[in-house]
Amino acid sequence: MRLSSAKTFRIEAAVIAVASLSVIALASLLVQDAVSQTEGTLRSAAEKEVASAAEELKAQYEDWVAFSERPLASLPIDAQDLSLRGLSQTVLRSYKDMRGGFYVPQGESPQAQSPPATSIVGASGLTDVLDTAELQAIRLSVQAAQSPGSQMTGNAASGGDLLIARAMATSDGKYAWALRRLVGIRDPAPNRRRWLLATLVSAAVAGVAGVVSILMRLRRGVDGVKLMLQQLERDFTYRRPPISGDFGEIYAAIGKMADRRTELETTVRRQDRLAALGKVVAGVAHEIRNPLNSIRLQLELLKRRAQKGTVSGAEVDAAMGQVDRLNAILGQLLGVGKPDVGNRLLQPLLPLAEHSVAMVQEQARHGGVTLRVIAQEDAHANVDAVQLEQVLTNLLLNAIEASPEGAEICLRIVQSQDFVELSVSDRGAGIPESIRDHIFDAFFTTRPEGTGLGLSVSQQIVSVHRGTLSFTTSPAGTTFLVRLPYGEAQ
Amino acid sequence: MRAIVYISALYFLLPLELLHAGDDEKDRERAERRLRNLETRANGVAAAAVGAEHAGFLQRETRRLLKRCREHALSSYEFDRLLEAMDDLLDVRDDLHAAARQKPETGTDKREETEKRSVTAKRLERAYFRVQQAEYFARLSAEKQAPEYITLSRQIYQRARAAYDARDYGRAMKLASASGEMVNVLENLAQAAVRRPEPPILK
Repeated sequence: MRLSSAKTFRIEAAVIAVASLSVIALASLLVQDAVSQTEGTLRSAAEKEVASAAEELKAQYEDWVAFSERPLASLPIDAQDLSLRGLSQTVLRSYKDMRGGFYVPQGESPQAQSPPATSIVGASGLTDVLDTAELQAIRLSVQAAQSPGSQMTGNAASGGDLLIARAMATSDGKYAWALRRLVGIRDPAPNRRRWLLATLVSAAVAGVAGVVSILMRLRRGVDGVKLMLQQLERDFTYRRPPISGDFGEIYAAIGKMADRRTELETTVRRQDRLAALGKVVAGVAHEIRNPLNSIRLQLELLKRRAQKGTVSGAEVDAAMGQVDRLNAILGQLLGVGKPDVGNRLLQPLLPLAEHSVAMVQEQARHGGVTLRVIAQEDAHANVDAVQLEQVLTNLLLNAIEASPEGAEICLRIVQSQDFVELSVSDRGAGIPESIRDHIFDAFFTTRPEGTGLGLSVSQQIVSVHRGTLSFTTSPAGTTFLVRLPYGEAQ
Repeated sequence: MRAIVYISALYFLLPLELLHAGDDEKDRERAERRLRNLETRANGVAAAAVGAEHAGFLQRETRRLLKRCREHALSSYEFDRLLEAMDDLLDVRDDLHAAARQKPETGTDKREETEKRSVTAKRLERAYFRVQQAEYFARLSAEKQAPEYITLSRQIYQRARAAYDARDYGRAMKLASASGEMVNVLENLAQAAVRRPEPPILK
């Protein structure tokens, strides 16, 4: 039988409610039992004290009879009553909340007699405050005293109270009795309590079993969900066979979420590919634009000299050199992601530096900055000339861009025993701290016309040469440092 | 016929009436005799107790109780209780008189002394219990002189206790008896004053 989710929830809630109530009721019953035990102790103590009072009443009476010169029976009943009440009153002064007196049975069947009509009952005029239950308790205690072997007691219930009475037979056929009322204590009803306890224990056991069953079902369900999620991590097409109930719905929901995620991933992947393509195109454009600008400047210069009739082959050679460079860059771009070691040769670095400076000279002049080369003439390195010039050109162009008008940009080459260091320093405002970690990322740029490929490609080239590209920056300027191993074999 | 019935009835009833009349007369005579005896005893003891402790109070109370006895019908309940009270009062006087004349015992062996000590202790215990009852009976008697009875019974008990401590057991017994008798007087006076309470009302 398949139950709806709401119905299952109602059944589970009912089971938990029954279990909770049973446990609470059981706990309260146990507490009540503890209280009852305390009451039992009180009752036991009271019974002992009542018995002691009755015993003392009897003893004093016997004593009085023994010492009295006149037998009590010779006195008129009124006088007897007063004397006995006097005796009772004196004895009971040392007992708290105790009443007592003497019961004088008359006739053949004393049990049937009513104490107040024919007997002397009470101390200090207490007879007028004895109620029916109290008289009944006294009568029961007298009957118990008449049948010493029986299980009878003088205990009786009175409203919510327990009356405890004990009687002692005197030698002349009277009964000394004492009575105490225990307020708010009931005589225990063991049978009823036993049934109640059994019922509650059964209900509690059934309820707890129900709760355990619910917990096991939940455990199984949670384990199923965990297993499904673990499988999905390995195989996103994994699906659990459909089952009924809440967890069946959860499995189905997880399956739907997985389907949706697959669709989203497909869409995102397609969009990522398009975005990446766009960035590559932008990068290519950036790398080509620099040589093109240089060719344009060379051609403008050639045009002005042609108008003056002073054309020389040097400008044409320079423009052709830029065209060659364009060709080399396109070759490199074709290899983005798989850097080429290039054509490395151990060669002097100063000519390469001067050639790079010459290539950006026009941009420097436009920016109003001067370029200066400080180099050890014998500095050598095992490098690809075209690739190193591309690195230096990128660094110089960035420096020109960052420097204010009138500033000087310095390109230094220092050779030590193991390294050759090429550094480009500018007098710009420095690189903001927030972007320092990203300047070597491909396509990261802060300029609207930038492509973000310059430093990324430069770092890739230096890395292929087993060197490092780093920078130091401050508000007074920035220095990029290319460190190459000296004489590194290809 | 009717006359015969009346005469027959008189014939049977008259002797019973005369018989009852005779009982009442006997009771009255008995009561009168007891009263006279007590008067005689009171006068005799009074003469003997001149100079004894509490003699003034005891004489005064004896006279007062005699007077009250005479105020009641002979053989009535109250008369009977008052007579008993007077009897107990005279016992007090006798005991006090005897205690005053009691000489300390000497030459008793240890076992005999132990036995006497035990008996006296029991008697003192009883007297103590009776002294405890004095206030209750005094309250019920509503007698003006009741406080004096209480004081006297306590004083006599203290004297009995002192005699017991001094191992004067004969004197202690007499004084303990006098102390208890003093409470008996109060008990009888209370019995004379208070009728038995009505049966209780069921609640």
